[in-house]
Amino acid sequence: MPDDARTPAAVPDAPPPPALPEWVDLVRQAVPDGVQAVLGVPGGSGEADLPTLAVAAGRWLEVVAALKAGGFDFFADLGGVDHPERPARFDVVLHLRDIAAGRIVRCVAEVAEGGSLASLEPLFPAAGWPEREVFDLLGVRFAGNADLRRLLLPDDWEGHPLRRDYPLTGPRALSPESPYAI
Amino acid sequence: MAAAETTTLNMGPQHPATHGVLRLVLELDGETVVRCVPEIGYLHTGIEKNVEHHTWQQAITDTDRMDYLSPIINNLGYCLAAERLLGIQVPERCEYIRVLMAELSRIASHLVFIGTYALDLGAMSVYFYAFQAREAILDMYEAVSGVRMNLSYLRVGGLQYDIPPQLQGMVDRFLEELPRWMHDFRSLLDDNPIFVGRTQGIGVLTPESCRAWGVTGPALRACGVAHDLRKAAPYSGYERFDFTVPTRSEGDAYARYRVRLDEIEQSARIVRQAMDGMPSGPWRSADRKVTLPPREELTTSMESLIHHFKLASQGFRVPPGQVYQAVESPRGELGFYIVSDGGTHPYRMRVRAPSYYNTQALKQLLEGELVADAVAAVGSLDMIMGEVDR
Repeated sequence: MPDDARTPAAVPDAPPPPALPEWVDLVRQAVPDGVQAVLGVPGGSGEADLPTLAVAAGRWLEVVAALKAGGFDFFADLGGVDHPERPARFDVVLHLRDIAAGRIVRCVAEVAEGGSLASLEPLFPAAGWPEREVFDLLGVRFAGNADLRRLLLPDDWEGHPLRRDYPLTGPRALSPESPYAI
Repeated sequence: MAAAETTTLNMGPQHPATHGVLRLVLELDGETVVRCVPEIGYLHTGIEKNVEHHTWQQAITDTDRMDYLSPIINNLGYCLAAERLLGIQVPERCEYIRVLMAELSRIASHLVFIGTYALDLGAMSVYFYAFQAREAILDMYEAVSGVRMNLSYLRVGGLQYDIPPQLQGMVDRFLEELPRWMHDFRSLLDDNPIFVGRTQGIGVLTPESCRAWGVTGPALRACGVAHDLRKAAPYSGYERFDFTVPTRSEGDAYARYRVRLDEIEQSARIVRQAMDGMPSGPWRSADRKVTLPPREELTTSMESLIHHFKLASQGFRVPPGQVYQAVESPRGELGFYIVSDGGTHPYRMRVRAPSYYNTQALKQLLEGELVADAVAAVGSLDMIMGEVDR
């Protein structure tokens, strides 16, 4: 029986990788080098509890501006996380909401010790205090924040208490015997 | 006749109408506020830092102390976030009890607002009526957990105890009396010419300014945006309950007061449904890696004894990851951003406190107002400095 009489075995097409949501593409078009990774969305590179963009620190303001233009116009929150073992030890984490469409997005930028990010105050006046708080408690600076003073602690406070190597009790200088040493 | 000189006035931090320790630096041109700089931090207790040194279960006691007028809702946001990281589901009865207690605590919080706000504006008696009503809720707290404030009643994976049988009668009595109390508040304030004159048109927010400043909760709903996380992103089974989201369109202090009154009535509806529809069954997760075993098992089961020892001595581990869980507190979006590194303590907990953003909005809210209206505008946001400063 000639081979061509047989129907060729159907090669199952590998399903095409799911496309990234449209709003991610819009951000990427607006700021081509701004988004380093996308998590928590179909077609993204990993799992997350909600759509998460890893943002290049130098493109922070532009990416957030593109998200705002794309509907994420409600400033939910901004905070920071310290990972002292990493070269760029701070994560600055931003949550934005789109109330009309019921969407939420997280943006994360890595900042090194002594580094800074662009302030989001020109986009959202609400960013004023959270940026001051991240500066106060973690020591990340925000270029362009109109009033970058300590927010919660006295102006003469030394150090940044939310850093992981800042002790909870005792003298402020961290001793190796400290139970809080990492 | 441009005024060349302005006066700087310090309002607070020990001002009776600032509800805690908020300091406002007001720059006045005559009697008009031209600039307002809120200063916070007087009540900073390092809660976010403390949490990193508490086990996952111990950290619940820290959350109570942020918004101490609705501690259950703080507990709820935290526990939901930790449970999402753990990937555990609590039984239906637990969700009902959580909703029941959360709505009671929303009513209690709004009652404090009504009482203290009226007091700010010179109406003394409303305060006593409102606290009388709130007392009934504190009695329920006590019946349920043994504690009247900061009750830490919720646990990651469930609750501290099941609700006691006498709660049914207490809730019934409260819901029966509530309409009369509400009638008292409404007749004392709603059309009271002094109250209306001091609140209408004062401290106006627009949907745009709310978006710009991150203002949520009754202040957002008072300018016509029907955004409530219980509807927008339901948690703990809120989608099962029938309630509406009250809104007003004026955006002023009076509208915020009316929205809160209407919310009390909606919360009462939820309480009724939660009590009537209360399913039987377990009230905490059966996951023995997270919830303590029943006491009676400890004498007969070696596994239970081991689990009990492990949970009591070092707590449970939570898989690495991060989560943002937001709940609707009486003041707006209360968000918990929690990072776990796989350990027995939270690696980082960032709290998005609604009062924090609402207080920041005072920068804009007070500009152009008369200094005499500052108290009316500040009080109408119902901020809790405990969660602003954390």
